[in-house]
Amino acid sequence: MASRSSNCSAPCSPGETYLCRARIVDIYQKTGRSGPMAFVIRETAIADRANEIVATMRHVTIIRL
Amino acid sequence: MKYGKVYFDDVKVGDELPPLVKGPIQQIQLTRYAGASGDFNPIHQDDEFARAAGMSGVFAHGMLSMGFVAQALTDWAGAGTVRKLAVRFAALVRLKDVVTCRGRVLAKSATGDVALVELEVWAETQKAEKVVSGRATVALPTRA
Repeated sequence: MASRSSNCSAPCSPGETYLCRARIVDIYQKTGRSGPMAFVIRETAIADRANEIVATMRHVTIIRL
Repeated sequence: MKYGKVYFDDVKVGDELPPLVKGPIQQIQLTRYAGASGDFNPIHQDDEFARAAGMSGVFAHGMLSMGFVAQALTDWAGAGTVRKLAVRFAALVRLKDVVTCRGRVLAKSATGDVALVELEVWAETQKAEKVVSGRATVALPTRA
């Protein structure tokens, strides 16, 4: 189980080159009904050649421990 | 692929997206999606591997269902309109499942040049089980 969200601030164009930078912004542990779980929060920024951010994404990955 | 065209002025709170029906899901689609996305996790390809991992068999990539929801949005609102899409993966899509994507307008707001429509979006299987659910924001043209 997980979730994902994307925000687009500018359109992406064919022929343009984009650079994705991802980083882990948080890791934490919680105990749910099925036992302990780890949450890994990743954020990815997509930039064009002028280094303008065109989109950001946030991913939540849940791992049963 | 055909994209829709809808004007901000014509959208009402409570309006529903035309449902987008996908499937029955076949293995070949999951293999194609692995290539398209770069996600070659064998849990989506190899039944034996999936069972060894404690699943009842292969299941679809969550992002495939999110992609279906995005298509339902752009089929209705048009290409280049989606500003935000956020979903939670609630249940698994298995082979032979039929996935129907739906959405409903929750709110409208126009500030300056930007006319935004917020929707709740979800996808459900033939058993009416929600597999993804979330929110979307689209920027629509105005008639003025």
